[in-house]
Amino acid sequence: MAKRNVLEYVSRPAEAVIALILIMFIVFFAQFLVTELVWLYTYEKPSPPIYPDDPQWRIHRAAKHFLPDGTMHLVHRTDAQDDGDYTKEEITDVNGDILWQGIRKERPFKYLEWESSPREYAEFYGEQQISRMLLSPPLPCVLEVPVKVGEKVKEVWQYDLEAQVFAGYSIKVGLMGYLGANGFALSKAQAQPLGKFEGLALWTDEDPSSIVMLGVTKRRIYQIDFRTHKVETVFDSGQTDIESIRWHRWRPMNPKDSNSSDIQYRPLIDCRTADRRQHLIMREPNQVLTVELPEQMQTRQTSGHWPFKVDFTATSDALFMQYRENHFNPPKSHKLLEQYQREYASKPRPQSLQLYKVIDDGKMELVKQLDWIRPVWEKPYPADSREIIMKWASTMSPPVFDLLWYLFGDSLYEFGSEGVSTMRMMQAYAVIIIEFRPRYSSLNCVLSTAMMMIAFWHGWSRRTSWGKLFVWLVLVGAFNLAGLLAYLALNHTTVIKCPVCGRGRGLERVDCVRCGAELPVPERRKLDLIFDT
Amino acid sequence: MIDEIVLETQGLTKYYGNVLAVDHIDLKIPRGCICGFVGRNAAGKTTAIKLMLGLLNPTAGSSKLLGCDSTALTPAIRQRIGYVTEGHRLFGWMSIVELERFQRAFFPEQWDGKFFAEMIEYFGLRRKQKVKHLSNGQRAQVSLALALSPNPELLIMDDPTLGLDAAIRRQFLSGMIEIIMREGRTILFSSHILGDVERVADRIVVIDKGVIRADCKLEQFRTAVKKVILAFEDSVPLQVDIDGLLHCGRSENELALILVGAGDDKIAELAKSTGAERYHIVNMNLEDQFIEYTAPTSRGKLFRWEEI
Amino acid sequence: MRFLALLKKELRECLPWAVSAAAFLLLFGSLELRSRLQRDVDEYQYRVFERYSEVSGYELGKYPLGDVGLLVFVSAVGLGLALGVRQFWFADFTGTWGFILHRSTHRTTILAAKICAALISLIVAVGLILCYLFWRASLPDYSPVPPPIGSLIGGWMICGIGLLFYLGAGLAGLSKARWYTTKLAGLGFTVWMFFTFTQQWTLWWSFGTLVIGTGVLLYLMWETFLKREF
Repeated sequence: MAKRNVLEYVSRPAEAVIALILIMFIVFFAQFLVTELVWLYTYEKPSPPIYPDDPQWRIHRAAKHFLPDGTMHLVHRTDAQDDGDYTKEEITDVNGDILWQGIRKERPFKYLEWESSPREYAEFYGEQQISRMLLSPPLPCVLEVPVKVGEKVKEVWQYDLEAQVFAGYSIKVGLMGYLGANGFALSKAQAQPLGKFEGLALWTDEDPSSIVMLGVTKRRIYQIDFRTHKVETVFDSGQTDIESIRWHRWRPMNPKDSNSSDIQYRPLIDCRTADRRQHLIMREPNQVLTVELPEQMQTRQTSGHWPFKVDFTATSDALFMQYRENHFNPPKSHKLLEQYQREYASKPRPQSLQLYKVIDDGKMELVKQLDWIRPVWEKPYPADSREIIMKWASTMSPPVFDLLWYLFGDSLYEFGSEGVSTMRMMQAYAVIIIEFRPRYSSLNCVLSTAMMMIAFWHGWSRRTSWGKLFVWLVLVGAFNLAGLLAYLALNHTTVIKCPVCGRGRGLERVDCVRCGAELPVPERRKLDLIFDT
Repeated sequence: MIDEIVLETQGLTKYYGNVLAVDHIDLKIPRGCICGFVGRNAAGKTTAIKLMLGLLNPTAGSSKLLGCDSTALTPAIRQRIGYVTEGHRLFGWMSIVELERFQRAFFPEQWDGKFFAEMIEYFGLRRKQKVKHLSNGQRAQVSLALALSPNPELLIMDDPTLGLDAAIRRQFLSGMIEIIMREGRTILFSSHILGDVERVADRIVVIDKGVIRADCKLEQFRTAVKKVILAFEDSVPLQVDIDGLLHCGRSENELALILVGAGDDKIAELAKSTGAERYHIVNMNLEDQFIEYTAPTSRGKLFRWEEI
Repeated sequence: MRFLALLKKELRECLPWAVSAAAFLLLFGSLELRSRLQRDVDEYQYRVFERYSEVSGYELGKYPLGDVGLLVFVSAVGLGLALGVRQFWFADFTGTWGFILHRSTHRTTILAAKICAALISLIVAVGLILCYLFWRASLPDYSPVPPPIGSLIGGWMICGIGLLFYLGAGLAGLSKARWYTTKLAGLGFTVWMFFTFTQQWTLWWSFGTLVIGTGVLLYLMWETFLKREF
């Protein structure tokens, strides 16, 4: 008997936790479903925003581009919607004088292009994705890079996740060798590991049968040409870690599409390291330049709002940098972000766009600067109706999520948006907590209290112990509807009428919880033939 | 020899949901007893047996087999108990010889292989026959053989003759008698067939709606429950006053009384006091006695012929 | 001796399902490998890349054993579910719990025999067949590019998933709760563990998920089996 009780001390909580979590997912799904259905039913297409007729707004909303000589143009969209190459545009100079009008694909000006949009590893596929490929059901898969001659596959290079090298197999001969950090090696022991990839990109050039790979590890950037079996160390950061990579025109572009202008670009990789330095790796000719940006130009590690303030591009004539300053300095806490955004929008804010030329010694020369004021916009964007519906649906969410948000909101946000470097399930849980946390805390608490009262009323006649009932009440209070449903699922035991006091009583105890009477012994009839034999 | 109690229950109670299946059963079965456990359908017999064997957990009360709590029967105790399940549920895919091998593994020292083989031969079964190809009766025979071969001290059988024809039942009971003849063996069996109980049991326990209504020697029960018919010249008296009156049935000239524990002299006195012309005590078998004893107090007649 | 008798009985009951799963995997796995033999290298020949284009890592991802992985998954999960139902649901219908439980052995031993039989069935019917298919695919005459050992380890992990589903189905079968309350919680937990397993980044984390899931389900199953009414 004692052994079984010990087992129950572990199994009962385990059952409760499992039931609670599963029911919580069901409740979340129901909340999501309700939100989507109501949104679908009530959806109205929003009308396009109307901006005030203010010269500063016009400057602020215009796309700002530079010509290679440093001249700045403002490109204004005259259509309500962006129609791609057929969008109607008007190009002015910084004074507002109209230079040209027409559709985008017929622009007469060729502006400087900049490195990719500011997302880490935007075009890269992380090592985690490679390793995840090894685990994804139904069965692991591997990264294999083929090398063709004409139509026929001549070699296949297979990535070895453990050894962190590529193993090469010839179709005719079999295993040929390995590609590691030290290039081609005949044996695995001789091949140096490339290191754990944080990102990689693959592309073809003029010859589509050969693939080139750019792989980024913590300290190095490699370029691997599988046809020539060459491994080039493009950049070695030494003792400091590589934080982010962006590139421009590094992979070869189709001559037809790449540059139908006079601007000749140099391939460029912009590598930022943990010591807050930007390393610019260029080709044609090969050059590595290290730039130390002033503090105000440094990328801010916040919630992802405009983290990159500077962009680089390298032409055959010069290396340019554009610096955008909007004085948007949100607090580190994501919980205060929304309030800060409202405050930011409520006042006029100075904006600035500056073009610099980067000299060979890493110093920068200002070429052009445009300053303007972003006015207050009194008519904000309409609120997302989904958000409004979710606010009401979230009143059924667990109050404990609200508590977690209050205590660890910033960490949850960071954890939830960190991307591929963390466990995806933990990231998913963080996102669930953020998305489903109660928005109306007071109403949520009231509902939770109501759930607790229902649980108490249900459990009063059934309880085996005050302790157990108390624990369940705490769980119901913390998890709201999910807690109540879990409680009912695990505690719906029979209630019978006590023959002594006439009120409901459970059967888990021998005695009635109301009057203390035990289950009555049946009445012996006079005619019962019960003899002691 | 002091009677050792091999099966004891105290206040054994079981609820299924809010349905009371077994209500405060108090039983003491001594060693060497052959106890017939009888009751109507849904009286609680199978539930009581399962509680005793630890297959169900009681809502209240306790039960002991061979001195061990039923909810914690040790393997050593289970080894001394034979159990024949209701309906003789066995593994259909096994053959008789495979079943024997399986069962024998749990009784390495006490298994009587020769006895098992003899029983199978006696029942006319083939050892390689699969259970799923056996009839109800044949399965019952195999069940009995499996239960008896380990030579158990206590044999518990839940409606072992259910669905068997008379000949098979006779054979089955012969097997039971075999074990009865072994000294110190105890049997508890539930049955709907009172003839079987009458044949082998020396003690009867009657359960009705989960409550024990009779727990005595068979002879005591047989003697105690009587049916008396009083015939009257004129009208039948409306009220009858006698100790032990269970039921009273009236027709035009007769009064049928079911009496419990009333002696012959009391019956004669009643006949005289009510002015009955004549009376006689009906010769009932155990089945008739059981039916009358467990009949509801206010029972109606369903069929027209019953009113004649 | 008692445990062996129980184990033999359980293995015999698992046998038809294990044989079916093994036959399914062997037959269709072999067919899949055979068809891959013809198209393995050809796949890259037909996979034409554009000039001057990006190539997605996922385009270059290749399942070394083709759809064998899917077959292993289906076999493992199917066998696990079938054995869970056979061992823990079927006895309710046939009414044989009384016969099996009134044994001169602990209930834990009876449960252990069932679980061991299921584990052996999964290992033999799915795991060993997978090993054979892997070996076959590793032969030089089959493909110039052998499958990496990681795909075999991953395949065995999938067998572990089958064990999870077996335990989940068994726990659901043992549960006396109503179906609309927590009867299927065991299976729900299994599905949750399965998704957690698929979201891990490394083999070790996946293995850890399997271990945790198996441990929880085993414990709950053991405790339920000990106290359950039959």
